[in-house]
Amino acid sequence: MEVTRVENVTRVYMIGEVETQALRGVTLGIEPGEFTALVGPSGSGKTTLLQLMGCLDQPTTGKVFVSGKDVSTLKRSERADVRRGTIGFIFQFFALIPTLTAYENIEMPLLLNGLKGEERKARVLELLEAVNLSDRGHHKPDQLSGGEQQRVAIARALASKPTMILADEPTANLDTTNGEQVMDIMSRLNKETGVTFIFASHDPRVIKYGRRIVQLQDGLVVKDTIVGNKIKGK
Amino acid sequence: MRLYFRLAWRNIWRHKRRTIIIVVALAMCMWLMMFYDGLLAGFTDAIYGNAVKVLGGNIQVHEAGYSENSLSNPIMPLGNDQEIAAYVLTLPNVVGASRRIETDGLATSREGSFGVSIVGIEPELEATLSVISKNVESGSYLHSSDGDNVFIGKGLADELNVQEGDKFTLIGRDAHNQMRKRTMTVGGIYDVNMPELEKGIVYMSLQEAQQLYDLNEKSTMVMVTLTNIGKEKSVIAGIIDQFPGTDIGSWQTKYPELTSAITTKSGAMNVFSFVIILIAGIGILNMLLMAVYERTREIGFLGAMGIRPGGINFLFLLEGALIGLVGIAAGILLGLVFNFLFQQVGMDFSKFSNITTYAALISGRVYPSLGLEKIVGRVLVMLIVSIAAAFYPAWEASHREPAEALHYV
Amino acid sequence: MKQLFKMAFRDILRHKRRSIFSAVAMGLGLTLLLMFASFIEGEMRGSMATSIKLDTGHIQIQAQNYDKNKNSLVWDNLIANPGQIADQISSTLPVIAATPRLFASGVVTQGNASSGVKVVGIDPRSPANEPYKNGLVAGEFLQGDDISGILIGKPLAKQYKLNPGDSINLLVNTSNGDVDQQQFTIRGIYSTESSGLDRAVVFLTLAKAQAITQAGDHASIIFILLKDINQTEAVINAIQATGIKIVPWTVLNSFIMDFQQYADSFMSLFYLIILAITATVIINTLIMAVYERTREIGILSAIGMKSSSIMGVFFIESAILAIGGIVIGWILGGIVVAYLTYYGFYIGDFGLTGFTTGDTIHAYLTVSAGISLTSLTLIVALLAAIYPAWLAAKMEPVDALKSAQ
Repeated sequence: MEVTRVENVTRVYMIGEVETQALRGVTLGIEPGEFTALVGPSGSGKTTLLQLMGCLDQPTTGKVFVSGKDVSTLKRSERADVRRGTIGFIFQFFALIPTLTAYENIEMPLLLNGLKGEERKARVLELLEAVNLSDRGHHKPDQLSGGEQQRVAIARALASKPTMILADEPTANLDTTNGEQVMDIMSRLNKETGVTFIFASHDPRVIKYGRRIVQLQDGLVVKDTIVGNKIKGK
Repeated sequence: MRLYFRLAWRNIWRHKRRTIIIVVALAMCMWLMMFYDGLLAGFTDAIYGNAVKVLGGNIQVHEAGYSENSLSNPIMPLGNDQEIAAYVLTLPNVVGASRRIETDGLATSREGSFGVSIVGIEPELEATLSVISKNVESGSYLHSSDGDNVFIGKGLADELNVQEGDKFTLIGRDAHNQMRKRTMTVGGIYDVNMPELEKGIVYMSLQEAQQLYDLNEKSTMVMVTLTNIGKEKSVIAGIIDQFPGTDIGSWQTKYPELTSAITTKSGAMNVFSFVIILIAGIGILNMLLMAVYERTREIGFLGAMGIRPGGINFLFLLEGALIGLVGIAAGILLGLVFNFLFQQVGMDFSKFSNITTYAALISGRVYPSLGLEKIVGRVLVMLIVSIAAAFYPAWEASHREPAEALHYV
Repeated sequence: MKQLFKMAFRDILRHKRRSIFSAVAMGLGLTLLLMFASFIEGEMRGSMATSIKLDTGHIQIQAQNYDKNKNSLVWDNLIANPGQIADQISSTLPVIAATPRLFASGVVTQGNASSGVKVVGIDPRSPANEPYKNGLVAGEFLQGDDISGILIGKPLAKQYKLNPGDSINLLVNTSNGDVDQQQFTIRGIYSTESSGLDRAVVFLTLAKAQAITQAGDHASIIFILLKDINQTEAVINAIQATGIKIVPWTVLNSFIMDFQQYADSFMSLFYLIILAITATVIINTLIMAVYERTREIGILSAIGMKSSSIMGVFFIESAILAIGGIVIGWILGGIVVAYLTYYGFYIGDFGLTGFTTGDTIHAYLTVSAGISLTSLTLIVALLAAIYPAWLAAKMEPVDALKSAQ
């Protein structure tokens, strides 16, 4: 079963009086375990597509399926529920809660999903280790470097064992070294845990890691390639 | 839940300066209300407290139908007065029960004439509890065999220009509608430093009053003194139980004007403090609105993580509530400290002791209480306004799609 | 300068909601101030007017030894030939009325009930007694030499369930220290809307009062009502007479004036608090404005704008918000004050015996109070802007530019 699927989706925005068509009819399915990059220039619709697949937004027309379930017409609170256990997010601006420590940030999804005391603590420590930040757990975001913050974000995204992680320009605010480091971690985690990763990026460093590249232009998919013949794909 | 509290609490301290300013405003609101409550309580305490101490008795038992004639003190003999007095003494919290006759009359001398209450008492029974018996300035307190001796306050003595041993005329009406006029001798003068009050009362022995008013062994009321104010209700219930036909009142019922004055003033104060709290509430509103605006992307992210719109809404309401609580706590602290200090000093009201019948009972200084009388209500109002102030910002925060919020710049 | 104004305006409009809420907060504050000021002033004027009309008059002539607390009928303490003196004054001076009144203490009884009252002997024909005549709720007013008629107040009539034509017994003290009693017939029942007075005062004709108290041709006071209150001093100087006291209304009502001062100082405390709380809202609003425009301030500073100008923008903003608030305050406050002025605020029977005031208080907003409270609001708003403006001014351009949103 596909992790996520969009069928003939369009998304039209009203900016003031002007109508903008961000997506003009896209059909796409992502299988479990994929490490896929949505690429294209600014305004191509890749972020919009990512948001639709992550239930962050609703299509103007067309359908969206998550784990086989039609989520296109769900209410906002129902979509929130879908996101909570199933989807993890990573953003270019890190999106950590500034008033919480790294530990507490990672803990958040677990608290939301009701994981209790000892179990929860164990999981957070496990995650901190997975991203090599075991000794920085008690620091707040303003005490961490950009790279460290993004790693915390990764740990948090993974916390509730989601089926997929969506990352929007994850390396945009990182220098070369940190960018590589972050991509390495994500790639490793994808192989080790089988969690699906979907990226939206125009950064070559990210695209380099992708095993499937979906190219968008002006709101349509223009190319969809599997890199090499290493992965079984469509 | 713990998560929400953690987020909300840390959020309100993100910008310490703003929060502290609002907290100061809220604290001032609470302090004002507590100051007023404390003053009002001190005021009524002084009045009722003194009423009990000086005028005597927490409870007055009369014949049925007595209080319908509130403007006048009719001479209505109280049936079973001795039995009632004896019974009351057996009730808990009662330290004294004695019989009295009370009516209105005129005291006249060449100086002028003054409306007075004429009170016949059982001196031996009242002596131990009575404040006036312990503040004799000249002459002596009453004895039951005293005949035409009366006991008056310095205020009245000064007005009539009489001293111990002097005589003046006392006029009143008796049970059969006859005018009774008698020359009385001043047997003793007391001084409790409440001249307005002293001006209005003449004490004599019960026997003398019975004779003067043709009451033949009867009295018109039983006066009951309790251990302290506040215990009236149960004792009254106990008396009604045994003697259902009686008309029973306490000092609270004796001065209905005081009750109505307090109610009106409290009402005005409630409206006033509500508007002031509203103003502070606008402060909370503005602050939270700003916070929503500043944290738009972060809110988008919370939504992305799976917090429902209702949860976001709740988060901001919680922030409003927490700000309110901090302000309330600071205010209570401020109020307590201030009222405590004020309590040591008191306020001088003596200049206005003739403004109302009951103000005469304030001897000098009024000491405010700590102001906690209405604290529950006050806290609730402030809390509700704080939360209500957060409604609009909370809605603002939660009504956007996460996607929209995330890309909001 | 114009540029600063434009900037301030634009900034306020950019955050319409916040600006409106801040202005509303100030408006509420001003409304409260106006309400209280008008209420206190109205109360004072009302009590003063009522007291002068019913109780003290503008001027009283009294015997040297007269003591108003004693109701003494000793001839030494009374004015002789009061009628003559009153007539002389009426004919030569600009008065509405000059009329003798005799006061005595009495007890009204019926059945086994009795109440202490103040007995007032009046000349029914004098214009000074119009309020009582106009305030009749039943029966008729006293006539010239009525020797058995009495006028009582509504509360007393209600208490004893009396109607015009009923009889009542009155005991009165006399000039030789004795007491006399007589039956009187109720001619009429009056009400002046001041429960304190209505409850305690009964009227007889002067002639009867003098007879029953054996006061002869004497009166306790001569009650004078002027055509113009501002002529009080002039009239006092014009009255030629020896052996008497001439007392103006200011002294007669010193109690009200004392109480007024007391209430005023209490009110100042309240005003202070209202303004302080309103100020906090403004300070916060401006601080938030400074914060979010940090970058803009940095740019302005970098291109050379003086810090005094930057501060100026914030002061102007505060002033604009204040003006908005003042408009709102006057609209809202105006409605409330108008209502309280016209319909009044019913306080009912507080049991006030020491000073005369109606049961309903009508608010009264003086022009000077309105102006000073409005100015006060504006000043507070400007003061509130000091701290935020200072914050803006001391920012280093570099720090400001660094902190992007």
